[in-house]
Amino acid sequence: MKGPGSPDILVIDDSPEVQALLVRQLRQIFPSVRVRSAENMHEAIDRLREARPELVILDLGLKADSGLRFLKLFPKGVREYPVLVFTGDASKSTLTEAVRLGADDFLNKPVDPLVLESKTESLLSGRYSSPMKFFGRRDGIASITLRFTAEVESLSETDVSLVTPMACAPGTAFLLGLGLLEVPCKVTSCWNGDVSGTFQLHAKPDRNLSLLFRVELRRHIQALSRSAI
Amino acid sequence: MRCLIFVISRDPRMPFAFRQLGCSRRVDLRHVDNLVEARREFSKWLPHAVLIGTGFQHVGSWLETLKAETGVELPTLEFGPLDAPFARRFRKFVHHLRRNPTYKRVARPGERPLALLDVEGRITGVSETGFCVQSEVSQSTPFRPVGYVTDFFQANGLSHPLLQLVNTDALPENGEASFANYFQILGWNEVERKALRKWIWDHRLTPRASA
Repeated sequence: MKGPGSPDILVIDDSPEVQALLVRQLRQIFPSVRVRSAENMHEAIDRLREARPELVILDLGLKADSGLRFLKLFPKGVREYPVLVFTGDASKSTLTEAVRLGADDFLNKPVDPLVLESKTESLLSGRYSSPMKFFGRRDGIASITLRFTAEVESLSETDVSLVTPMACAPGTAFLLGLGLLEVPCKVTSCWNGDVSGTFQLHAKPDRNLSLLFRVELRRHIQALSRSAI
Repeated sequence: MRCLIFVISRDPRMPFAFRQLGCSRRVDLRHVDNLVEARREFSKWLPHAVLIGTGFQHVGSWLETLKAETGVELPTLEFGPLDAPFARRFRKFVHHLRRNPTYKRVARPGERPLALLDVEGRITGVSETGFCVQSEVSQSTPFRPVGYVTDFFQANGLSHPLLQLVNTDALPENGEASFANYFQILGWNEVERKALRKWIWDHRLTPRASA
């Protein structure tokens, strides 16, 4: 990796206006940048023969040759530079194909100068993480509690029946928030609900709740029953 | 479920006598002296049932008043001599209580109260556009925002984004059902995305084919 002071960037785009815009923006970000440009695949190959760039910014919508063809000709294992693709068609299938062929990152048209600066800097630094890939650790990164609302169909000290927007595997432990009361429960069964996208969930409150906690739970059930009368 | 039963008797040793009879398995017995005290203690403990000695009068009207005031129909068993036939009746009574909870709320559609469900999970993969959360919950309807609680964002100087479920994959995990939920991050700007890229780099995370 060369220092970020004098990067060599190759812009491949068949529109002179877009080329000029990108060159201007890149020079603002890196004052001493060397930006070369190519309008089609042949020119791009010539530029690559002249010198190896540190970054290629590639329009996926080249007229004569698809930008995807460039990625096929210069696959990731062969080339020694990252490729930042930009496209007006940010559909999942296009981007998936581009990433499969080794594109490192993407920009949407019209190009946001801040996004261009951020992604270009990241790619040139070599400290890069693709937005299209997940990074992680085997043991996980952090704990998270997923929280969602459910309708209480029936509630007693021994059984809970809920209509939820999420399916829960039998055995799943969860906290049921009833106002200020949080009841530890375990799922006994879960299947599709009557309404599409909902689930019918049956669970049992923890059997080892303290006497006072159980009194509070009964109080809550009683209050719900009275409010329904 | 352990049932809490009031023993209404003038003899404070009565709960002990029930225990001697072998009637106290999985049952908490609490002595109260009379119906007035029982009404007072009712609000404090919300018992599942009452055992009433044969000598008490106006039990019927007491139960009616209690129902009118609290909405609870309290199962009642009258006791006389604590002998073997009574022990059998008592066991049946407790069995019935377990199967037919005194405190139960059943709601019709449209009248159902709401509750919050909190399910634990682990963030197993991150990218600047999404998160993968492994947990035992899944969803069939994508693009629905999901609430969450984690200190991950605050601890790393990132604002809390809106997480929207995109896709769920089933994972084989120790024979138990487990799911990889892929969430899309909404509401972040480029500054936050860049900060996350830096965090990924600083923590030497590796690309994972399946987060």
